[in-house]
Amino acid sequence: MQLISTWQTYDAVIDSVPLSTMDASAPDELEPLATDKELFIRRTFKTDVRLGCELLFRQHYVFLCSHAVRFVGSKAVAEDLVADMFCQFYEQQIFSTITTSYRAYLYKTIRNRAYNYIRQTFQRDVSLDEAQYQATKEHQQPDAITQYDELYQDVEKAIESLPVQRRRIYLMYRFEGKKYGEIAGELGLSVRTIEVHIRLASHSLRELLKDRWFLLSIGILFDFF
Amino acid sequence: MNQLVNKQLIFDSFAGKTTSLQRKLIDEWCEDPRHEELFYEWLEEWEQSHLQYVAEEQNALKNYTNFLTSDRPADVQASDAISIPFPKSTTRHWLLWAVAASITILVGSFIFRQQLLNQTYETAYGQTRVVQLEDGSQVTLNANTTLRVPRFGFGRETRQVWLDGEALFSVTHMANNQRFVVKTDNGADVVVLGTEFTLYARARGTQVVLQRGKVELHYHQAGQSERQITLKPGDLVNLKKNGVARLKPIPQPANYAAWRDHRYVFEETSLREITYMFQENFGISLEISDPETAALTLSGAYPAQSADELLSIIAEALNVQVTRQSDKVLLAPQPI
Repeated sequence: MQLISTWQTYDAVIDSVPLSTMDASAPDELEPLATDKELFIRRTFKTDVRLGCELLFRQHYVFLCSHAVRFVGSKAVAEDLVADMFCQFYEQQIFSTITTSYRAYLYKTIRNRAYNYIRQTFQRDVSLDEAQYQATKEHQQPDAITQYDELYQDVEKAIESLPVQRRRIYLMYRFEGKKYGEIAGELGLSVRTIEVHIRLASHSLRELLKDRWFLLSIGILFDFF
Repeated sequence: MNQLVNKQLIFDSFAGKTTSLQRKLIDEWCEDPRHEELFYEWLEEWEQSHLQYVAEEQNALKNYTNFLTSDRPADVQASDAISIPFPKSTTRHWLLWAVAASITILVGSFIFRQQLLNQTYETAYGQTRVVQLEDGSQVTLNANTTLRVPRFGFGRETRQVWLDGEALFSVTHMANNQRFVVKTDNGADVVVLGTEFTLYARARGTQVVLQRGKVELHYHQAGQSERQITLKPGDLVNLKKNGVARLKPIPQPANYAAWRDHRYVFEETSLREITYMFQENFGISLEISDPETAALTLSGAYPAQSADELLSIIAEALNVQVTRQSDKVLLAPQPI
């Protein structure tokens, strides 16, 4: 019963959005369509939770991965983050507690997780590639919604600023997840050269990002000598 | 404000084409939950039309449905109380069980008395670890190292620990000038008040490098009574297996703790000596084809996160060829 009343509230919320806020460039037909989609899934959750989760997964997985990769730069990491979020969504029965739309929850959460992932990576001051994904803490987050957008734009700018060859190698390694040896073979370079490029690229990305995003978290542990 | 924030502006913001003032407007606009909903709806739409890549969905979906059907939480309501099945205990044989348990505890505590009395900190090959002791002292363990610290009474009666391997000690000075003693299996003890030093105690010998403060090295020379050496900062004492100690001042004592930052510092270090280091720190045995190659020396500081990385740096620097075999690595001059 609890659930149904939440859903009704949600419907009421969507219906009450004043048209003037959407009509500037949003076509009118978009809104009801999206609502219908969620309505169907919400009804499914009422009868079959697993099917509901599966439908959500089918509908959002690809786009969430694409969004997450803007932050973390690695397909594998992005896909892990998204899959993990969906598992938790089922395991902790988050579907029954959220008061927003599923879509809003999923995008909000994945942005937060991606943010935390890079934050942890930088905090430990190891290169992006060695960072192990750790259980995400939900409580750390930027104060404003658009800061997430700024963060992935900064990541993008940092990658853009790399010299062409280094960027190419870095993307093959980080985004595609290729091994040093494979990249070396493809580009006709030595493995050692690839290693050096990756290390320098990781280092300059960290330097570019840390000043703005993670300045406070860099360790002062080894300042003694 | 609503007039200013529209889909176009938010799309611009996703694409990084907004000013900070505009982003502030969006932030404020999103404080209304209805607007936040719209924001995410537009975010989805924008992402769909600006895909970074198309994730492979089939396998991921298969994993997910496997996860869903693995029956972990099932569809229980969160409010349902979870009852944990408790095995029924039989009270009849309680005496027998009690006797058996006490014997197990007695035998166990005898066998494991070392572990019970001491907390043991260990590092694997290629791993370093920082240990914080109760008295505030900090010990950074290098790879393949064991540190034993008493569980009871440490910091009250004495401060005494055992080291097998290599570590950097940063010892807190106590108000009552209590001594801090590091014992080694090589029969040498380092006695300090409050200071910072590295201690190397492995099969090859013992070495102390003092960074700050003052320490004493107590040792036994074969057939003689205990001797002691007092070190000043920057002093290095090398104690050979035969009990002969040699003291020399060194310009850069910090280099002897560089491993803590995964840096490896060599000063005219021969490849032969480097092979010892690989064996001790990484558990990798390097074999050198000929004496000339073994005598090659290396200088400089090299950051490396792993044995492989360090090995490829060394190979490059000395121009030697590295061949891997199952349990060892062969080093030979580069064929011309």
